[in-house]
This record gives sequence, structure tokens and C-alpha cells, in this order.
Amino acid sequence: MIARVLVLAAAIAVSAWALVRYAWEPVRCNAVVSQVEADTIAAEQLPDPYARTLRAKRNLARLEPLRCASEVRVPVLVASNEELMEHFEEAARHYEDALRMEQRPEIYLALGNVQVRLGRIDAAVENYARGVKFHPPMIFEVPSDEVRRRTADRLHLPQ
Amino acid sequence: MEARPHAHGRPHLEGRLSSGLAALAVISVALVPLAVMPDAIDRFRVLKEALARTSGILGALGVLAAVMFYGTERLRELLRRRAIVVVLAAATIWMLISTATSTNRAYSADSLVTFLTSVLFFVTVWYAAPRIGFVICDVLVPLVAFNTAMVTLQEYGRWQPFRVDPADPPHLGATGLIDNPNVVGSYMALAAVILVIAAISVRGVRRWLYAFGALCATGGVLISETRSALIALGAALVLIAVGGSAKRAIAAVVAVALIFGLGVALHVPVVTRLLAVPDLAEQQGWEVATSGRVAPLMAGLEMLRDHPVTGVGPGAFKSHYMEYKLGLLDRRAAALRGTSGLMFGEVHNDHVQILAETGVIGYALFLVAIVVLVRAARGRPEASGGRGHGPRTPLAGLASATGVRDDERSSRRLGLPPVVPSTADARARFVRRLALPLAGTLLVLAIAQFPIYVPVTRHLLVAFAGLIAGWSESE
Repeated sequence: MIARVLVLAAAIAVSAWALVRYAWEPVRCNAVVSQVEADTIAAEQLPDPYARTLRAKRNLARLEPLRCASEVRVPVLVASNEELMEHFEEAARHYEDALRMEQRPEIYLALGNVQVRLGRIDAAVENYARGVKFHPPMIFEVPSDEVRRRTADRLHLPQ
Repeated sequence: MEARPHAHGRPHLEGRLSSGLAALAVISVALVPLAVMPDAIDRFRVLKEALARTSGILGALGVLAAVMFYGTERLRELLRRRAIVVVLAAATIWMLISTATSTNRAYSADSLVTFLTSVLFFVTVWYAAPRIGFVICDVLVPLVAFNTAMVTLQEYGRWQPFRVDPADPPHLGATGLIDNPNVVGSYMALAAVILVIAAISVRGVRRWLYAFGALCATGGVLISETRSALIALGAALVLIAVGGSAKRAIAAVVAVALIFGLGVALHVPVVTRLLAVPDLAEQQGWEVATSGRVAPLMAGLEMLRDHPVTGVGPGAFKSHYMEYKLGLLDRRAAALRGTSGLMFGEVHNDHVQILAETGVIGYALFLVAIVVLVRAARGRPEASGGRGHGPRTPLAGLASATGVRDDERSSRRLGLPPVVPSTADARARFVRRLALPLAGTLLVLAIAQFPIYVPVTRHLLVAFAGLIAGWSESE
């Protein structure tokens, strides 16, 4: 009887862990990521760089404890907030992490934007080209005329 | 482990535990379609998936407790269904292999958890099936009625409780509490099939209740404008009739043709959209005519070509879709005429997605699982009729009222009065008639939708698959 009770106690402990890890954490992750995404968009609109940095730091602090191994929005949001703080190297690294998880045109665009800020124009054009090839209207979101022209040339698009 | 002799009071406790598992199954079938996170970006799937996983984990714990403390008799009954057990074991092993060889381990691990918790929920429903009554169909009626009403109000702009992106077409906001309109159509088609068969398998008030539910669900399919759901429903009606007499089959085909003709005459949007497909394909290409489904389909087939045995890994399609589509744009641009830059997380064809993610063996196991369940249900001879005599004791009356019932063997073991014969007969008739049309609906839906990959439809399918296994047990 004691052995059975012990096995059941172990099973309850494993179930509780599984419920937290595989049911509760994804829900929490979805809720926090949704809030942080809204706050990141709001922070991008702030004119004051100091206020933007504070907001970005707060967002990063909320993302840090999350365990969302299969949520591509987490590295994207980390990168976006690093970008708000003008930490472009870290931002590029997190966008690359996101692309290793899941290739999406908007992530290529964001990575290209960061690479332009870092002066890596050739790499940026390559990433813009991938995003634009997948979703052609994205060409209008490439921020600089010169880089947009080079991206169009790379894809043999009409100017 | 042998069945232990019951100490005083144990049968009562075992009964409570089994009833608890039955209640868990019914409650989760009722709750999953209602669960939403209104303010989240992923409003529907994450919470529904979490609830589905919770049902599987709690169910497994309950089954373990029942087996450990109240004996293995029921477990041994389950293990005697060797075909089902072997398919479950083989599919689990294959999912483990496919995850281990995955091209995206994080996504595949998550899909593996979904698969394992679905198996646990299936086993829970199967184990508790003798104690689950038609209440599991009862709960579908208010669910489909409410969601159809809500989808209708959203579709016609009368009520929209959720924030909708103004850039999106208004039709995409017609979600009910279920998911996007395509998932609404898939869920409603599956529910309609279940409720139609329930209506022809029972008598009395429930028959009318289920007929009303089936009508609401069919209305939901039409409002959702999901063409593949409409085709799947038509196919299911024919399969339902095929399961009966030749006369019924002809009547069903004529009825489906008449309903379709009526849809054409009344310009019902889903029917006119269906008829417009060939012209649209000729003028603007198949990519436009199929709402962009050709690109993910071709990408999925290319993934299968590159990874024919183990696939790219469960859940890994979306991580590779973009690179495969870029390759297709270089090599097969003509086939993708009119393509948009829409990202697809699923192929929108479960046949191809299962092939792409788990390889040929994974897909073969998927088909074998369906065949085994259909054969299990249809292998049992049609139960004899009889109206039964109703509950004979207050406890049995309570069980009857809550829909949580017992079968004859369990009744004897637990010292309860014998099972009401008409209940067992109705349940056997129900699953015998349900298995083939439900499988047919799934296979047709899976051509253009993803009912296996969306929690709300998968949970419904797993629950009724468990019931088919449990209610079709030979006595």
C-alpha cells in the first residue's frame, strides 16, 4: 500500500510539473508576449530616447523569465527592444536566433534594418531581398532609397 | 498487477473515480471550444491547447490511480483491443523517432507534447467510456447553437466582442469562440456529423435536441463559408446513408443534391464561391482560386521529397515554409501565379502536412489508426433494440440524469444495478454508425483544412475516437 501511495505521489508531482510546464507556461507566455508586443509598439512611438530606453528595459525584464522554447515572437521582441536601446549587435543576434527558429519575411526585414544601422549594407540587401522576394510589397518598407534600389537590382525588379 | 479484492467502500470510491474521469472527458469537450484569451494575439489556440493538454494529463493521473488502487480489470479490457493498442504504441514510438531526427527540435518537442497528451486523453475517454453517457453529445448542442449565433452576428456586423484589425476582411472576424472562419467550418462540420448520427441513434427528447444541434451546426458551416467543410458534410451524409440501406443511400444523395441545388438557386455565398473555383483558376491561377493553398501544398510535398522517411519533424513545417516557397518561386513560378506573401503555419492539407512532418511511415500510421478505429466500431454486430426499463435505483437514476452511466460488467463489479439495456444498445448503435462518416469527414476536411493541427477540432476528434473505442467493446 505504501509503495502504491509513493508511486501515486510521484505521479502527482510529475503531473503538476507537466501542467505548469506544458499547459500554464504557454498561456502565460501568450499573455505576456501580447502585452510586451503592444508596449514595444508604444515605446517605438516615444520621442524621448531616455523614456524609450526605460520602456525597452522594462519590456526585456518581463520577457526574461519566460520559458517559451517554441515561441518565435520572444526572440523577435527581445531584438526589437534591444534595437530601441540602440544595442544593434544584440538586436541582430536575436533576430538571427529568431530566423533559426522560423524563417519569416518580417524578421528578414527587421534584421536588414539593424544591419543598415550597423553599416553592413551588403548583408542587409541580402536579407531585404529574401523578405521582398517572398512578399514583394515589402520593398516599400525598406527605409533608405539607396538600399531599396540595390535590393530591387538584386531581385531584378523594375525600379 | 492482479485485480485486488475490494475492501468495504472501495467499489463506491472506484465508481466515483471512474465517474470523475467521465466528467473530465465531458467537461473538457464542453470547455475547449469556449476558451478564449480576448486580449492576446493568439486569442484561441494557446488556451484551447492548454486545456486539451490539461485534460490528458489529469486523465492519465486518474487512470493511474484507478489502476493502482482499484485493480486492473478495466485496463485488461483495454489491452485486449490489441489492434488499437499496437497502433497507439507504434504511433508514439514513431513520433519519438521523428522528433529525435527533427530539423527543428524545439517545435517538434512541443508537437510531441501535444501528441502525447492527446493519446492520454484518448486513453482516458476509452477507459471511462462505460461511464460516459450521451451527455457528451448533449453538451455539443448549446456549444454549436451559441457559436453559430455568435458567428452569424459577427458575420453580419451586429456584434463583435473582439478587437479586429481594420486591414483584415470583415469575414475573418466571424470566429465565434472557436477560431478563424475555416476552423469554425471544420468544427461545425464534425459536430454536425456527430449530432446527425446521435439523432438517428436515440429516441425521445434527445433525438429532437440532437436534430436541432445538427441544424445549428450545418448553419454554422454555411455562415463560415468554408467550402471544404461543406463538401466534407455532403460526403459524410452520403457515408451515413451508405451505412444504412440502399434506399437511404439514394435518398441521402438526392437530399445532398437538392440542398446543393437550393444553395445555387439562393446564391448562398459558400456554394457560389465553390462553383466559382474553376473559372477563377483559369483566369487568375490555382493559387488565387484556392486562397493561396497551392504554395504550402507544394512546399509540403518538397519537404517530403527531401525527408521521405522521418519528415522534417512534427510541427517543423512552419519553420521551413519560407525557404521552400522561395525555392519554388525560382523553379515553379508559373504554378504559383498570383501568389501572395501570406505566411502559412500549416499546409492547410493535413495529409500533406503529416507526410511532410513525419514522413511516409507517420502518414501510414495515421491512416492505419483511422482504419483500426472504423473496423473496431463496425466489427461489432448491430445491437438488438429494446427500450429498456429505465433506472431502477436512486443512484442509477442520478447516473442516468447526469448521463454518466455504467456498463453491465462494471455494474456487477461495483455492486450497482444492471445497466439499462437501451443505453448500451444506443451507444453501440451510435459508434457503429459514427465511425465511418466521422472518418470520412476528417479525411475530406483534411484535404483543404487542418483539423488535426487545431486544438478545438483535434480535441473533439480525440474524444469521439476514444468513445468509438470504448463504446464498441464486445461484451
